[in-house]
Amino acid sequence: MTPRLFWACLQQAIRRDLQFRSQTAINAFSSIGDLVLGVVPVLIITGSGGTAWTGPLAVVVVGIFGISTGLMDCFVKPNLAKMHGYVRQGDLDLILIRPVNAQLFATLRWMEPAELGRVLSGAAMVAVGLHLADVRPDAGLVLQAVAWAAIGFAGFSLLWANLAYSAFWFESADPVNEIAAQLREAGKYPITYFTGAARLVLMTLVPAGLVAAVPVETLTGTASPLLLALPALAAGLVLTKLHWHLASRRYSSASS
Amino acid sequence: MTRQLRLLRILTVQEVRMMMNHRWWLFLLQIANVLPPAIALLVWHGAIDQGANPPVSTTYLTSYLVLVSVVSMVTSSWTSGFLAASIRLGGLNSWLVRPCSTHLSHLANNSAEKFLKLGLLVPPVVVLGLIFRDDLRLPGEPGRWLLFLPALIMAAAMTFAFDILIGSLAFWMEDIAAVDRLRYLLARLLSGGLVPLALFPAVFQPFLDAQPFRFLISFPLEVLLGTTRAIDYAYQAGWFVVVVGGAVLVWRRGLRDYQGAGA
Repeated sequence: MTPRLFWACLQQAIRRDLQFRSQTAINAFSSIGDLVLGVVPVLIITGSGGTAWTGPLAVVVVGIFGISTGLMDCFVKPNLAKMHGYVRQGDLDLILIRPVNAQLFATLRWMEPAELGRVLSGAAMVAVGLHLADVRPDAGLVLQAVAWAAIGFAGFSLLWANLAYSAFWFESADPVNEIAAQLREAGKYPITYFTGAARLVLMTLVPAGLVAAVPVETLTGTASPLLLALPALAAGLVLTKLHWHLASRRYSSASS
Repeated sequence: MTRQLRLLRILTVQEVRMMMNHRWWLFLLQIANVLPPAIALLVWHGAIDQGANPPVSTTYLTSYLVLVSVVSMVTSSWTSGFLAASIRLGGLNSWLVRPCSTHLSHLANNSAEKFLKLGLLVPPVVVLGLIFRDDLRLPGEPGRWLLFLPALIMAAAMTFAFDILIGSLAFWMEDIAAVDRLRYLLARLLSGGLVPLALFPAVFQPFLDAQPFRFLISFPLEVLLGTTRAIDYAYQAGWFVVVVGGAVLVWRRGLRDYQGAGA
C-alpha cells in the first residue's frame, strides 16, 4: 500500500465521518470516555499498594495504552473486524483484483478517525502522569520507550491479524475480534502485577504487555533490552505473511 | 396471557433451532466474556501476593470475579441494535400488523440465547474456578440462592428494558450505535461488571449504591455473596419501575411518530 493510496483512504474516511458528524462526535467522546473510565480499575489496584507502582505511573501506562489502542482502533481494527465478512460474503474479490498488496490493503484500507480522540487524551494523560510522578526521562529513554510501544503495537496487530485470518479456516470465526480486544485490555495494567506464566505470555505470544507497561518501565529506567524483540517481531511478520498466503489459497470466492 | 406465553415458547424454540447453527460462534463469544474477569483475577491475585490490601477479602474478590461472567451473560441483552434496525429499515411494519408484539420476538431471541450461552459459558467458568479454587467460596445456604434468583430476573428485565429504551431512540435518530456505546461504557464501570463496586473508594459508595447500573450485575452477586442490605431490594424495585416505565413511555411515544417507510 503506497503512501498515496494510504492518504486517499484516510481522506475518504474523514469525508465519511463528516457526513455523520453527530455520530462521529459521540464516537470520539465515547472513545475518550473509554480511556478515562479505563483508568479507574488501574487506579483502584495501584491504590491498594503492594508494588512500587503509584497512581501517576499507572496513569502513564493507561495513557500510552490509549495512544496505542487509539491508533490500532483507527487504522487496524476496522479492517480486521471486516475480515470475516470479506471471506464469508466474497468481498475479498474486490481486494484481490486490485493492483495493490492485498494483505496490506485488507489490513489498512478502512479507518475510523474518531478513534484518534483517544490518542490526544492518552497523550494528555501521559504528560500529566509523568509530571505528577516527577519522572523526567532523557531523550534516549523516550526513544527506547517509543520503540517498545511501536513493537507492542505491531506485535499485537500481527496477533490480531492472525486471529482474524482464522475466518479462512473456520466458519463463525467473527468473535475472535472480541477475544483480541479483551486480551488487549491486559495491557493497561502494570506488568509487574502479572506473575509467572501470565507475564511470559503477555511479553511474547500475546504482547499486550509491550503496548504500554514495558514502555513505561523504560521511561523509569527499568526496561528489558530491545535486542531480542526486533528479531521476534520480524519472525512474527514473516509468519503472518505466510499465514495470509496459506489462508488466502483456501478462499473460494463465495460471491461467484 | 396464556396465548402470549404459548407464542413466547414457540418463538423461543424457533430461535434455539436457528442459533444451534452458530454454536461455535456463541462459544467463542463466551471465551471473550470470561477474559475480562480472568485478567482481573490474575492482576488482583498478583497484587495481593505482592502485599496489596484491598477493602474486601480475597475470597469475596475471587468468588465475585469467577461468577461475574455468568451473571453478566444472564442479565445481558442484545436487542437495541436489532430493534433500531427494524425501526430504521421499516422491518417493524411486519410486526405491527401481526397479533404478536415485536418485543415478544426479541424476548424469545434473548431467552434462546441465554439458554444456549449458559451451557457454553459453564466450561470456561469451571476452568477459571478450578484455577482459583483455593479462594473460591460458593454459598451453601439454599435461602441465598432463592433470594438471588428474583434479583437476577429483575436485573435481566431491567437490561432488556434499557435496550428497548435505547433502541426506541431510532424513532427519532438515524443511528443509535454511538449512544448505545456510551451506555455500555457507563454500564461496564458502574454495574460492577469490570471491577467489584466494593473496591471503589468509600467516598463513592453512597453514589454507587444508589445508581441504577448497580442493579444490573453487582446487586445479584451481592445477594449471592451475602453482602447486601434489605433496603437494596426496594432500591432495585424502584429502579425497575423507572426503567421499565421509561421504556414503555418512549416506545409508545415513538410509535406515534413512526412513518413505516423505512430508510
